[in-house]
Amino acid sequence: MNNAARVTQDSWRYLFSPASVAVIGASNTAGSWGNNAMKGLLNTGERRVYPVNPNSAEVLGRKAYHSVLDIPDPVDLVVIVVAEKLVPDVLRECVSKGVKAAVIITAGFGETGEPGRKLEAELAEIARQGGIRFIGPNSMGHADTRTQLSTFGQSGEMPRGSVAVLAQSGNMCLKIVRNLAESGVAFSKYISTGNEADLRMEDYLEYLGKDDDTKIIAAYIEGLRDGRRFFRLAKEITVRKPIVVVKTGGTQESARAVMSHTGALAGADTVYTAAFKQSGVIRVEDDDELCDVVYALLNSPLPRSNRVGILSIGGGPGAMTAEACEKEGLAIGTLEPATITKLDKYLPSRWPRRNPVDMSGPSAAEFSVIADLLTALIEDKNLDFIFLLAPIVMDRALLASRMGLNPEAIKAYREKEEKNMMLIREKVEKYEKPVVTMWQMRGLSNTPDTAPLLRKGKVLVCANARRAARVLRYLVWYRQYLDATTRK
Amino acid sequence: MNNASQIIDNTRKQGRAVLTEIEAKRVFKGIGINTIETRLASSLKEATAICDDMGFPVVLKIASPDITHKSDAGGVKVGLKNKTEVRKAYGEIMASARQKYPAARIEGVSVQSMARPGIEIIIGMFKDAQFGPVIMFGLGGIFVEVLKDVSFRLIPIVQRDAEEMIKEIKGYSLLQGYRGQEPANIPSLVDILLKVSDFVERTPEIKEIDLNPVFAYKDSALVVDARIVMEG
Repeated sequence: MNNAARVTQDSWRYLFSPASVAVIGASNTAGSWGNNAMKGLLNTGERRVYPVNPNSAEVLGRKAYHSVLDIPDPVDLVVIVVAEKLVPDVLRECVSKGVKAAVIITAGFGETGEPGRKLEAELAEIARQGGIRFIGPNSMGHADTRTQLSTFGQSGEMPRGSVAVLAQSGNMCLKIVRNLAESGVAFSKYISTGNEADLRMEDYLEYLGKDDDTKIIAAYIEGLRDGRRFFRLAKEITVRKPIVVVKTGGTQESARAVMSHTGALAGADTVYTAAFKQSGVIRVEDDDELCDVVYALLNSPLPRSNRVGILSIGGGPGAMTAEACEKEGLAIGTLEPATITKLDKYLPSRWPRRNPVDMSGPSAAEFSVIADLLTALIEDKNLDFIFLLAPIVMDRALLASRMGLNPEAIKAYREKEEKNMMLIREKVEKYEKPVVTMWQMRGLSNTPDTAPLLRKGKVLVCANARRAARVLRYLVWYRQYLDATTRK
Repeated sequence: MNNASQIIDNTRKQGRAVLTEIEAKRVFKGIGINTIETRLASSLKEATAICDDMGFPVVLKIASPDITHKSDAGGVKVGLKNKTEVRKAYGEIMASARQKYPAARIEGVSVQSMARPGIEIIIGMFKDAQFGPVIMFGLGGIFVEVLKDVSFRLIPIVQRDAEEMIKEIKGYSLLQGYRGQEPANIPSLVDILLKVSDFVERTPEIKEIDLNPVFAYKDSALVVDARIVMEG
């Protein structure tokens, strides 16, 4: 382990809640990194922000300093955006100044080849000797919603939440953060870890494992430098907090000279897969799945096992969903006789009396029974979660056009829906059975009008049956991992 | 275990990284893994005497610390049914080995009884640059060669890991007695995996292991060939 020393709590404090920040390479040019970082830092939070730029008297109306050494006050954190050749000298000045932590946004280091790698090693050495811990280089920034600190150059207040994102790609970091934010997820911290010349994925993981603000950790990983340490940390963390990972670089083979058959058979990626599985890390295929799974972990209980109940407005969607479930290794549950008796009360006599439950084409006026049907399925002992392919809530426009409701009637309808949702939430929580609805009912299920209602009911929304089935497969796997691990 | 560590110490003292087949098998036998009986014969006379003791048919393999790819050296003869065949095989093995590896130190041949055919399994271990020691389980023969039907876990493993590794391979149904074939005894395979994991954990100087093949039967499993490579 050539990662000098374990990161101290002080270092983390300087990184995430600095009293003063200097932006080295601060700029008046709109859209530049040095301009973005300044704007973001000035936008929120109470801290002193100093631009450093030898060529301007001021940046964004603030007095600019020629060098970090000219700043009259102590500086806790620096954001470095100057050209790569200048970074070593800038960092040396930071050491002289007594700076505690840095985020190096500048790119053009190890990711570009041998000369870049040398320059990067030089940074690590300067920082190590000078006692500076840093993120990057080639990072796009880091953010902490508790202290309202962001070096990404975002504007506006960041809502506080419990999901942390770690990404070895800045673009993937922002993509994941934006996608999750769109579905109403808020964050504790998110970090674009860059080339990890000093602070590494394993360090951040260790920190977030102990961070009380963070309840779920999502990570985009291209490669680990100390896989064994990651494994040990993950094993300890996943019994308390889920870790969801997208890992790319699956085709890279690590160079190893082997004499055995076994060594020749093991691709680098197969070992990552084994390590994740063994330490309870939920490994997903891509960032869309990552967002689906994080959302589900945040908004739904974990199912006890893999038996799905499907409630569908008609035969087709139910059949398609059943097939998607079977492909992902989920089981189609067999309804209890008592459930069939309950459903008989609400459904026309022609309904097929089995799972998937086919409502056999109800009219819009009959949609009101959906909540009762869903409740009956949640209570069925043979089912562990429910896929809902029927409009349990309706969009305002549809209520007006299809059902001819006036605004007052829509309000009354909404109130009834809301009551239903509170009841469903109660059942979901009591029985620990997730309910997932799919966008197949376009315009009926997930519009700005209806999304908050679904959230109230703890009803998950997925783009289609295949994605829903995969999410549930991950949740079932994680629940079974936890059950097996904690049983010991 | 003492026996196993003595063999390993001895190998290291001689400056060798690869244990001979006989040494490797003794190590596994020493840690309680069911391993086929294999004895060293340093002469033809000894070889035929061992055959008398073991019974036919037998397998002869070249025994040399310098020859690790025995088949390539023409150093393996299987299914020898009587003394005449053993004599002939012995001569051919020696001639071929001397021709292909003139500088090799040759200790003689290893004699082992022919194992009753079972489901071919491969169990192995290697060290990954990022994750350290890793254990592997798979179906042997063409399944491992062509389909790479294998599963991995980091060492150390617990019983549940071992069971999952076995269930995880695509050919798992073959182990359950496909088309009236004898099923494999899963607990015996779990036991081998756990013993290998435990052994590697206690012996960090081991770099690679192949148990290939292991024959799985209805009521047991048997290691038929073994290789151990130590850290250089």
